[in-house]
Amino acid sequence: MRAQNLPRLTVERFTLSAKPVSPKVGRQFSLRIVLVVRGYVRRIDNVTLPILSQLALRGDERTIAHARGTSTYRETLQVRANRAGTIDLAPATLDAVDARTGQAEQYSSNPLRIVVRGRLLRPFASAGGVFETLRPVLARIALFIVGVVALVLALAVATVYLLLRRRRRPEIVAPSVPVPLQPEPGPTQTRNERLRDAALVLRAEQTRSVVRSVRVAVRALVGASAHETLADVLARLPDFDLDLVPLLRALERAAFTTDEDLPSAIQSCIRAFAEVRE
Amino acid sequence: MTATPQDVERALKASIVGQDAAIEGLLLAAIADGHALLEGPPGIAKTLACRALAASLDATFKRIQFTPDLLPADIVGTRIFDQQSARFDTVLGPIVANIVLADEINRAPAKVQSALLEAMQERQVTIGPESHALPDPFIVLATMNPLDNDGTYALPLAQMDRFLLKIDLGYPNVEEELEIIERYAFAQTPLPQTVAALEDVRRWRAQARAIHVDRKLHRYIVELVAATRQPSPYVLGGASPRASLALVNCARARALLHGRDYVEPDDIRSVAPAVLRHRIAFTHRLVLEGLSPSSWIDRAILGVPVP
Repeated sequence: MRAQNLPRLTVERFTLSAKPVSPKVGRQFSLRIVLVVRGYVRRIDNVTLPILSQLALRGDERTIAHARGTSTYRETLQVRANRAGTIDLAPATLDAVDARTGQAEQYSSNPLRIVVRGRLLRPFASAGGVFETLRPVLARIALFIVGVVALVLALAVATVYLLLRRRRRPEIVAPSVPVPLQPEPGPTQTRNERLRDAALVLRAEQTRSVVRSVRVAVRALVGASAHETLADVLARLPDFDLDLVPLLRALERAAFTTDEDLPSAIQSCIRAFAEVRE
Repeated sequence: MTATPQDVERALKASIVGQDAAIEGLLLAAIADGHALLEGPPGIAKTLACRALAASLDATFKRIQFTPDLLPADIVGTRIFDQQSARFDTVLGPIVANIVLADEINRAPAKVQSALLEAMQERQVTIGPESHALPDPFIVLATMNPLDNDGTYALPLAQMDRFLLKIDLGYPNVEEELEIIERYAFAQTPLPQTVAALEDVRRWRAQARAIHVDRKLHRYIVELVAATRQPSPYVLGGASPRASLALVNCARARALLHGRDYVEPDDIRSVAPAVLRHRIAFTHRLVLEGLSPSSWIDRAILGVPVP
């Protein structure tokens, strides 16, 4: 495209921000691109996003609003980080002709540094760093101890109460019903629970569209972004997920093979699901 | 037993150290019935790779060294008057071969380049009143040296577009170069043995044409090519629909090379740089700002969501 074909814009503001600035690992958060240009602009198509290779893209929404002689383009990307640590994002860019000078320009937003908080331990940089790194672990241990103490106290109170009741009314014998401690339900499903669900769905309906949905789900499970091919995903798969390689390959085949081969490819997927480590 | 493309790939890798990507590119060109442009500095086995491909396929091989004084008749052929029979006899040029190495294609003037590229397109040459069909398979492998541009004639974009692939060859890494020294310091580089016949190549082409490409992948290909046409201060013109067709054919050839009868997104992503890099016209601003066409293309490709 020649420079003459670029849109003529007077850029007033171009920013890239994250909300929250310091998200948690595995939690969805927003990246916001705001571009304010002078005048009424109906559409802006050529904002180039920074490469989000360390983030999983979950959604993308674009709007343009007009007010007081300006047009405001907002793009909100819903993303998720799968690893703790610092992520440096390059600026978003916009190619346009500057309406004031008539020159083709490449506008850039600010770069962005995101610090993803998470469970993963990092090398200690200092004594403060040790504390910062261990704080979530220590908090969990403290919570666990408080929980155990509270449980023991509750049991002791209940035992004393029952003994007192038994003394008062010896004719009534309360059967001692063992109450198993229920594990607290986790906030999200585990990896294998999600895989089991995906396998169940595929077994129930063995069609190409279901295969594709299951493929998307399994790719999401290993943190694959929409811009990664299978080779990209396999190249950076952590050791923990290496047992998913045959499954990822089988799903790739089932998603793109011929109609004649589809039933056999789906059976391969089902077998691969069964072979995933419990 | 019929030979497979993998047999040829193994034979080539046994002869040529490193350059696996180039070997795959040559095989893709052979399977997809296209021509390839090889670009790289001197001394990195460009010519050897072409000779080795011909040897492994039992194909006729001709090498034409392009120079500024070359004439079209030097490559296509000419008619010579025979005094004894008192008539003109046709002498066919070196282009009549299964595999033709057009060495340093950018050193010949436009007239000669056009004669070669016309033969590549039409698969026949016309000498005087007679047309002569070129053999099947007919593969032109043209080389260019990116470092030494003095006295060269750059190929116009329309002619570059006729090459199915542009294969960039780089220097080998340290381990590969050590292996080259150990193997070939005191010996002539051996060509591989014949492992397949020309009939096999024709069969592979038929198989590749039958390889399944899902409609979602067709859309992915179109989106990749469209990404090269997006407004950018670095690009004068993006890739043509011929690039989309080349992407489909190369992806099919790669699927066959990997023993599959269907194309995966990885096939397309893998061949896209080689198919697109010579079909885009870049502005001088790209180089002035220290960027390279390859990095721009990689970024454009990575920006397209994978189905």
